[in-house]
Amino acid sequence: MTRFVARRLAQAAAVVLAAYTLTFAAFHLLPADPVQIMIGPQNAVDQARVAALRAEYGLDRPAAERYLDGLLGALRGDFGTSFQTGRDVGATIAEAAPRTLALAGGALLVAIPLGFLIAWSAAHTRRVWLRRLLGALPGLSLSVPTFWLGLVLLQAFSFGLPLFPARGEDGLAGLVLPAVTLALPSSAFVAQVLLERLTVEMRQPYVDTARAKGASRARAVTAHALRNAAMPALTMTALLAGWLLAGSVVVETVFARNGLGRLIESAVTTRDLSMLQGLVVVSTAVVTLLTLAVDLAHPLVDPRLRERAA
Amino acid sequence: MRRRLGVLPSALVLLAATAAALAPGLFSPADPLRGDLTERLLPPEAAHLFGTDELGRDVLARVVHGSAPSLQAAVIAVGIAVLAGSAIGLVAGTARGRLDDLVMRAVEVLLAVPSFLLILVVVAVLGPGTREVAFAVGVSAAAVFSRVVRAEVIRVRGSGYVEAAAVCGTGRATVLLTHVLPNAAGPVAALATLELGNAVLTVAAVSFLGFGAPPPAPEWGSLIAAGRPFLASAWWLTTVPGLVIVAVVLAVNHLGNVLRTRSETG
Amino acid sequence: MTPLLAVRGLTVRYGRGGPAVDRADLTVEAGQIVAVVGESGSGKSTLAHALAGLLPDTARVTGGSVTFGGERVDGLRERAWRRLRGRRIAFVPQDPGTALNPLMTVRAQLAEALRLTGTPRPGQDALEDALGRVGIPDPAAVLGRYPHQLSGGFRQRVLLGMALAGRPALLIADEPTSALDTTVQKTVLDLIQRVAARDGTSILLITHDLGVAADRADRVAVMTEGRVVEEGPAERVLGSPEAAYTRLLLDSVPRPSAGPAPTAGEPLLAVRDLRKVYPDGTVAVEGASFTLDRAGTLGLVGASGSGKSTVARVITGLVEPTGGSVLLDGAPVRAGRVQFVAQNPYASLDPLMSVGRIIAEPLRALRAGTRAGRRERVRRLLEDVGLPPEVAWRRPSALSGGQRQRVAIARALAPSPDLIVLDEPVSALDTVTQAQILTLLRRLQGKHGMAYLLISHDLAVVAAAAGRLAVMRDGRIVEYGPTAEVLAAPEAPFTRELLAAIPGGRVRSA
Repeated sequence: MTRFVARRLAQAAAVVLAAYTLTFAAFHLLPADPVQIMIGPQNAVDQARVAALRAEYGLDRPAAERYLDGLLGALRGDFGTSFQTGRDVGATIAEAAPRTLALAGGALLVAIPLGFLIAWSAAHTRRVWLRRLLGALPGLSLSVPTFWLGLVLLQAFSFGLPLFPARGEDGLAGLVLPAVTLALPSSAFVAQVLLERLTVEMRQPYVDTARAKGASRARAVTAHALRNAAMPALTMTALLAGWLLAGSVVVETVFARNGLGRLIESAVTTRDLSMLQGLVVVSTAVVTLLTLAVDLAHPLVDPRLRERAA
Repeated sequence: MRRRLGVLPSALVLLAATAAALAPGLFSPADPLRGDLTERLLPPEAAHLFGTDELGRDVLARVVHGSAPSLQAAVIAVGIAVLAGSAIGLVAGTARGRLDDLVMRAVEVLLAVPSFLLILVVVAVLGPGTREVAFAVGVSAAAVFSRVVRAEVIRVRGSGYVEAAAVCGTGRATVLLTHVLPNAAGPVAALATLELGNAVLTVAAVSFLGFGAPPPAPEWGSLIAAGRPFLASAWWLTTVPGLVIVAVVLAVNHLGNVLRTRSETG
Repeated sequence: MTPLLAVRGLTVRYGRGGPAVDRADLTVEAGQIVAVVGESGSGKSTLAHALAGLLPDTARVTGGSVTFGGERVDGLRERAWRRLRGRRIAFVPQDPGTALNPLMTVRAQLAEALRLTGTPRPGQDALEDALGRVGIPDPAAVLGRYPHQLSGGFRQRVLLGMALAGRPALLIADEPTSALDTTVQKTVLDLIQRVAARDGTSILLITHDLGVAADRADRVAVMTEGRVVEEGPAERVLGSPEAAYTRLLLDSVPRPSAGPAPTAGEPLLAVRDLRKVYPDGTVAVEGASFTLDRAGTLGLVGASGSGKSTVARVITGLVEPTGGSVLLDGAPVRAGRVQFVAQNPYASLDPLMSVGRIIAEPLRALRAGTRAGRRERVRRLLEDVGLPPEVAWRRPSALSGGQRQRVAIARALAPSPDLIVLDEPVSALDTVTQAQILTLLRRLQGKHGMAYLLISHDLAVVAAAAGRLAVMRDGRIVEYGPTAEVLAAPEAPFTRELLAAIPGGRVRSA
């Protein structure tokens, strides 16, 4: 078991290292020079200014040296300073993270119960039309652009019925619309994955066995099928985290909230490569750690994997 | 059987969208770029079915002319994903061993970076623009594709009929061409269709953020972004392009699901 | 006296399709064992599910009545069914491999069964007693296990233990043993019979195997195409069957009689000290040696996991042996001379290819003949295996299981091989089809004179066709000799066990 965990940890570390290397390569080894990328192809700046900028960010040093320095820094949580704002990248990310976490947390608070409810009801009902309706909901919801959904909610509940503020940071009221915007597609995602698994599990003979023992349909779904379906569904947690980050970029833009999403958006707009590198490494690390946690949790749920891992 | 029900409307929506991309004049004679300032922000009416924007431009014309870049980007993205992903998946699935490990580890890294962030990073390096966005979306989807193609190749290679072919003495290359590729193609086509729906959404989102074609060129995402200041007063500016995106994505996804069901039931 | 279960004119449909069960009549008296025999698709499993109130949502009862213990139960609401299931009517589903929840211990699943049938807090004694009653020797140890840690036979016992926990009046067992090896099958069926005798539980035994039905049941009902075509006391149905279908089924039951005398021809295939160890360390085959004469048939029998399939895969070149030699006419096997027919005809034919292309594949691989010549050869091969020529244009999905297996045989025949390795060629097929394919194989051998290596878990299937028999267990050949001698005087205890476990004694003596 310890060896299994150690191996998976090493693999996770390798993935994050590779992500760092990849962004470094993309930003520093491409024919286009980071300073040139930053300034943009249209703007002509005199060479002396470019050289000064290069020296300022240490870009005149050999690539290998910069790579190692950056890596050692990143290990300590130091991702350098922003090319654009001159502020510390790590600190900026740390400052923006809580707001996005609140948004994502709020969204998950709605999305997970809602997704489970939809999938559970669709598996439980004997009414074929209801099952089809519930089964169609996730696909419908995932066909709606998140940013547009946000705008529609704004139109309806901020301008139409003035229930919630149109923009703003603070308080629960300001969190409601953005969180709901993010929650609807997330719940669809949860419901879709779960329902697909549940449909397969409900056809398994052990569900018949349970009902033959006298278990109710609700019990057969909850205690038996859902338990077996939950594990593959758990695997999507990490995917969902990446997805929430993507959603936060547009949702924070729509609702004019500050957070990681806005940070990403402005870093792309201003082509702030050092900031982007920090964001990529941090978010990859989060997704990888979540994947790792889920992988390590699997044997706890499934006895068959416990033996293989041992 | 029931899934077949929506096929005709879905096909019609896609046909209309494709026609709008290829021959926008058919749907709207108005100029998407020039407007009449005396006709600013008119709600939908007979002369302007979808109303006009803040510069008096016809929204219908802008939506119709926006379909070309929006769809083009999505199609190119899926094309890149299918080609690159299939090549990678095929090599990994066929070679197995060391090469397979190496390639799949690389794909794992790409998958560990949240895909939307990866797309935005590529856009940051390449700069904004329809083609740049298409490339970025394609690269990010290629990783997913290569995984599916590899899994399919391995599934087919382990099947009874490939085993039978081996006993018959059929060569490896022939097995690959006559058994593995055709049988892996069905699920890949289904996934490609579903991915097209995703790509339309992603392209729209990137364009909404302002990284697509620069104004005044119309793209569905940027049209919605441009309508944001008038959310309270001119609902049609954001509603109409949004509904168009929803319709197209629903249609594509529906067809993709039909394909998927068919490839699963054989 | 009213019967325990009376089914009158029961009709079940899926969606808007034709009836899966068509006006079925069936009676089960208290304490009786009634067998429902039918092939796949005969509606027997749908009938079983309908009687337990476990039909899938797409199926509806559209006619007839079911009376259980004097009470109409068709059209009962779910709540009322729940009072019956477990306590009065128990059900054991097909495959014991998937019929237990893989994430729960035996203890949890058994306790659930006891709780649902009226023991609010089952203690250790109650749990151990429930397992003891189904012949589990060490109940305390088994309680703590997960399903995957148990063998198929033990899983089936646990399932039976759960089903009997509520002391039901009727136990419906849907193919309880078809996924088990013959010897395990026998012990499980013995157990079911014992339980019925001890507790007075009526048993409705659903099976495809007429032999099993004949050995165990008081009454037999024969189903085909949704209809019960014959029903009566077991001796009567077997002794003087009235329905033509019953007679066909009876004639198709394989009988473990010795087949042709071993050919005295020159040896074709020589396998010496074959050994195969898989990369994970499993020893699949340990020192197997045998020879096979030209135009002869060697039957290779063993339970699942005995290594017999690995032998087939080594001889066909699909797997490299770890040690030993396989020689054909004294030389390593050349392409085309050994062909292969696999167990599952649904997996062994490429779903996207036409039957004609499938059959011609070995010819194309050997670059034999012209296009037109190959087409003519395919036509003759189809004729050989008893398929009409137009099948060449069809895809495998348009064919039945038996037809598919005929196509696989035609493909194996195409390059005129010296040897065809048949790995469980009929075990995925229904009894009647099974008999037809075995007859076809015999006829083809007479005509073309190739040798067969016939591999099966079913001694009865192999014996009738093979001149010599080899019995494998745990990777070793434990018995090897002319079929007649092996059947008359088996040396290895395992062979004796296999022989004793073959169901259908009452069919053969009838």
